[in-house]
Amino acid sequence: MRALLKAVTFPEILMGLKETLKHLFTPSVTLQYPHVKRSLPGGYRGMLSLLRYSDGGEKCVGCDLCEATCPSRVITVVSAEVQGEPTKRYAKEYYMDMTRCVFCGLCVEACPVDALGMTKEYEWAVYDKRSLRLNKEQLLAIGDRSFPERERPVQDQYHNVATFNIGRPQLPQKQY
Amino acid sequence: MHPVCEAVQKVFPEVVLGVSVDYQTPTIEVHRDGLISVATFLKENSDLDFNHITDICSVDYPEDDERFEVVYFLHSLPHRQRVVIKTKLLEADPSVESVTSIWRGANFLEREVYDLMGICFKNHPGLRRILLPEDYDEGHPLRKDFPTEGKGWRCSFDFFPDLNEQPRSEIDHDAAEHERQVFVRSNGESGHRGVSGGLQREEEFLLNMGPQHPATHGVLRVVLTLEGERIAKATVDAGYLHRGVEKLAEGLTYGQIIPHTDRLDYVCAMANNYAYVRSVEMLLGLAVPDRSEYIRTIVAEMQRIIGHLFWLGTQALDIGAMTVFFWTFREREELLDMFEVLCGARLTLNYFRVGGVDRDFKPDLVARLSRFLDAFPSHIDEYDILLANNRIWLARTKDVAVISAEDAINFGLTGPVIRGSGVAYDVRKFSPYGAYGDVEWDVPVGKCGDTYDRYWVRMEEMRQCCRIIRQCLDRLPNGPIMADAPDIVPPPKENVMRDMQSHIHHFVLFTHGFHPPAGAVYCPTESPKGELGFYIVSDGSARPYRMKIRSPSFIHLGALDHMSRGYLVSDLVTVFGTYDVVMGECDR
Repeated sequence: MRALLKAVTFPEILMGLKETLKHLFTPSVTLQYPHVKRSLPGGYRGMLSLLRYSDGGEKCVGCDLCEATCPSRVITVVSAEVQGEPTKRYAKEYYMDMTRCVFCGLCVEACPVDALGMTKEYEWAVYDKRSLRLNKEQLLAIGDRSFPERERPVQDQYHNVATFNIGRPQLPQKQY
Repeated sequence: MHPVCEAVQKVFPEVVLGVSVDYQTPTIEVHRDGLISVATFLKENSDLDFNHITDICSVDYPEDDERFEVVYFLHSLPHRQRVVIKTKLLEADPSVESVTSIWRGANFLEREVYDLMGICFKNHPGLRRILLPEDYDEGHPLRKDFPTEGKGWRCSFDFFPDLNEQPRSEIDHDAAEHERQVFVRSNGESGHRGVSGGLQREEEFLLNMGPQHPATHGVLRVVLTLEGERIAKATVDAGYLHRGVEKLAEGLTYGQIIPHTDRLDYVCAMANNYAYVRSVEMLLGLAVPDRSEYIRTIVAEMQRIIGHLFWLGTQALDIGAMTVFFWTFREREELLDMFEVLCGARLTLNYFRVGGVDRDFKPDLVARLSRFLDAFPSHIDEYDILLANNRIWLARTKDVAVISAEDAINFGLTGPVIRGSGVAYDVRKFSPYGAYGDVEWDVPVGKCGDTYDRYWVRMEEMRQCCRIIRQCLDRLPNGPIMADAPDIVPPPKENVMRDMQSHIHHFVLFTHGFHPPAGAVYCPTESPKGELGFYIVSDGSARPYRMKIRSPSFIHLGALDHMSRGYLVSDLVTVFGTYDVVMGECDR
C-alpha cells in the first residue's frame, strides 16, 4: 500500500521540486558579463606587459631570463648595450607571441628586475592572430595603462644593488 | 634483497638478469623471453598476487646495444606492494610477448607503447595506433631520433594562415570510393548478416559517436556496433587531443614542465601539479616544509571537490537533470574564486613548485574557505535531495555499467571507479603523502560496482574532503612555504638584486634548472579521477630523459568496451560519464 502510494504520488520528485522552489527566492549569483565585470583579485595572471621606472626609463635590462624560462617559447629578446654606457644593457627589441602564451607567470617570476608584470586585462580576442605578436612599444603601452604607479629606479632603492645595470657613464669607453 | 625479488629469482634464476630496490620499489630486470612466465608467476602466486597493472612505459636508449626498454609497473592490492619489471629489446627486433592475457588493462597500455615507441607486442588482440591517427606514417614520436617539432607536413604547419587567401575549392572534393568504405567488412561480405533479400533482415549497425558530441566531455570518438539498440561492441578512438606532452617534457627543464601539467586534466590542475611535483621531489629526495605540505593537501582536496562537483553536474546534465548542473557550478565558482585569490588563475593554476608552493595562504582566504566549509555539506544534501531517490536518476544509474571488483582490478582501474566496485584502494591511504597521514578520514566504498555506487562514492568523498580540509586548516602550521635547498629552490626575489649569491643562484636556476641524480622513479598520487602517476627517468641532466604520465582517464577508457556491452545506446553517455573522463589527460 505504502509502495503504491509512493509510486503514484512521486514524493521524491516533489521533494526535489520543493528544494528547487526554495531557490527561487535566493539571490541570483549570475553576472551579466559584458555589462557587469568581475572585480579581479590582486596578483591576477592576465595579459603580460613591460614596466618602466618612475623616471620613464625601461626596467628591462635584456638579460634573456624570461626567454630562457618560458615553457612555450613566447618571448624573443634582442639585447644591446646602451650607447655610451658600456656596462648598461637594454632590450633593443622585445617580442611576445601571445598566441602561444599559457599565462603561467614564470617569466615574471624569473625577471630579476621586475620588469614584467601581469595585468588584469583579459579581453584580448582579435580578428587577426598576427596582431597578437606584440612588440616592445605595445607591451610598454599595456604596462603604462595598467600600472600607473611606478617604482623608483633600482639604484635609488638600494645602495648595494648588484652592479650589472647601473651604468657608469664615467667609465672609459671601450677601445675597438 | 627484497622478498619479491628473492621469490622471483628463486623460481626463475636464468631469466632474471638483475634485481635492485629503487626508491623503495623492487625492480627486476628480466630477459625478454621469460617475461610472460615471470608475469604469470607474479599474478598467480598467492603470496605475491600482483593483480593490478598500473602502467607500461617504454624508454629509448639509442646509444645502447639493446635500444629499447619496456617497463611494467605492477601493484599487489592485497599486499600493498609495488614492483617494476624491466626488459630490454634489440633495435632489430623490438618485440615482446603481450601481457594482455594476464591483465586485460594492458591492452590500451601496450597499444600506446606500440604507437609512440614502435614496440610490437606479440599475440596482442588488436595492435594498432591509439593516440596518433591510424594513417600516421612518420614513425614513432617518442623515439629519441624523432624531432620534437614533428615530421612531414605537420612540421611546417602554418599557425598564421594568410587571411587574404582565396578559399580552397578543392578541400571538399569527393572522397575516393575506397576511402568512404572504411567500415565495410574487409572479408568480401557486404556487411550484411542473415537474410538480406527478404523483408526482414538482421545486421550489425555501426554508429559513430563523437568526436564532436557534447556528452563525450571533449573530443572522444566511439564507434559502436549495435544490435538493435543494444551495444555489442564499443571501439574507442582516442587521441584527438594528443599534444605530445611527454615528448615536449624531454626538452623542458623540470620547473618548466609544471605549467604543462596544468593542461592534462584541466578540470583539476592542482592534482596534476601535485602529482608531478611529488615525483620530482621523490627523485631529488627533497623534503617539503610542513606548512607547504598542509597547504598542498588543502588545495588538492579543494580541487577534488571541484572535480567531483564538475563531474556531478555534467553527469546529471548528460542524463537529463539540469538543475544539479547549475547548483554544482555555483559552489565550484566559489572555490575557483578562492584559487584566483590564491594563485591568480582559475583553471591553469601553476601553483606548485618543486620544493613548495608559489604563494602563501592569507588569513582572509582561510576565513573564506572555512565559511565555505560550513555551508558546503548542506549543499551536498541539496544535490542528494534532487538525485539520491529520484526514480529517473535511479533508473538511469542503478545496474548500469556494472563492473565486478575482480574485473575492475584486472583492467587496472583506480579512483572512485574501483572504489565503487568495493575495492578500498586509495593512494592516500595506501602510501600516505602530504598531510593525509595526520588527519582522520575514511575511504567510502561501494558495493555493486554500478554507476549509482560510483555516484555515491563521489558524494561521500566530497564530505570527506570537507573533513580533511577542516582538520588541515585547524592544524595549519606556521613556517616557510618553500624548502631550504638553494640549489633547487630559487632565492627570494627581493634578494636577487642585492645579494650576489642569490643573484647567481637565481640566474643559474632559471636558465639551467637543477640537476637531479640519475635514476628512475614512479610516484603515484590520488587525483580526483584516479591514480595519477608520473614516471620520470633522469640521466642527471636538467631535463627529464623520459617522462611517462599514467593518466587514469586513458586506462579507464580501456574498460569502456567491457563495461558498455549489452547496454542501450543512451546508457553509453552514462558509462563514460561515470569514469569522469577528461580528454586532455587521456590523450596527453
